[in-house]
Amino acid sequence: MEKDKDKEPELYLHKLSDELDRLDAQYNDITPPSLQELERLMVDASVHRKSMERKELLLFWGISLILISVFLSILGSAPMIYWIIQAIIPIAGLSALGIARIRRNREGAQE
Amino acid sequence: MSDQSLERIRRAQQGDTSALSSLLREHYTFLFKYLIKVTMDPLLAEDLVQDTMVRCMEKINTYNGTSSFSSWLITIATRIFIDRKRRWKREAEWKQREQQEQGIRSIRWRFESRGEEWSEVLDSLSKLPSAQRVAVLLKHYYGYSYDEIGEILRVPSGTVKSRVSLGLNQLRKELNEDGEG
Repeated sequence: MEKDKDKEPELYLHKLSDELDRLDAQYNDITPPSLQELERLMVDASVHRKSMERKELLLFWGISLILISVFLSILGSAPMIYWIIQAIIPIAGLSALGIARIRRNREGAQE
Repeated sequence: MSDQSLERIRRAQQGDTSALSSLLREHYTFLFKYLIKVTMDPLLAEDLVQDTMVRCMEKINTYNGTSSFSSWLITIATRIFIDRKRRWKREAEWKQREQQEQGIRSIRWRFESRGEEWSEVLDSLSKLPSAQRVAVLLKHYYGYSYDEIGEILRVPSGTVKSRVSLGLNQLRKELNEDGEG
């Protein structure tokens, strides 16, 4: 009886493996895309990536210029506020990173 | 890995698109079958294969040969699937469930249209939370160690162990219930 109980997980895993083989076999007839299709996918992906990179770079420069001009004008008119913002930003950034990390770990455990 | 595959990988890393295409074509079916088991949804699997191929094209230079090429593809595909699941968290739960059920119906239809019986084991597997399903598959079907799965999923190996154990217990429970029912 005890021996049968020990063998149970093994039998069970064997069954699982057999059923997954059967699932695989259902898709034996799928045809992979042709070499031409894959090459076209590669070209499309590369064009898409380049355009995304260009957009991201433009966005980065745009936001950077706006931020620099805002901060320079604050520094000129109200230096105290400028230094307060300089202190708040890293603290807020680090806290947000910490919270995001904790949340991600929790999500990972629940998934 | 065969010498031919290694040569193809080397050429692909040097920018040879035809070598990369044939490498991806060679692994297409393997990848699709892996993703079918992970997602239990043929349409989603197809979509993820495409995303994995694109990611592989972008990252081929980072492949260093420490693991087999198929393991590298499994890692990319699994991480894309996890990212996709995280984005879906924002969507309504019923919508996700509906999509999952549609995927299972599609696989079930495939079995039945070929005169084969739908399996209780696969049904139970499809009901597992995806993190447990991936861990069980990688451990007990693909034969990876807990540490290797931890690297693929970017979680500690202890977490993998508990996911595998929870997943197997859940499967056993469901099958016993079905057997008694």
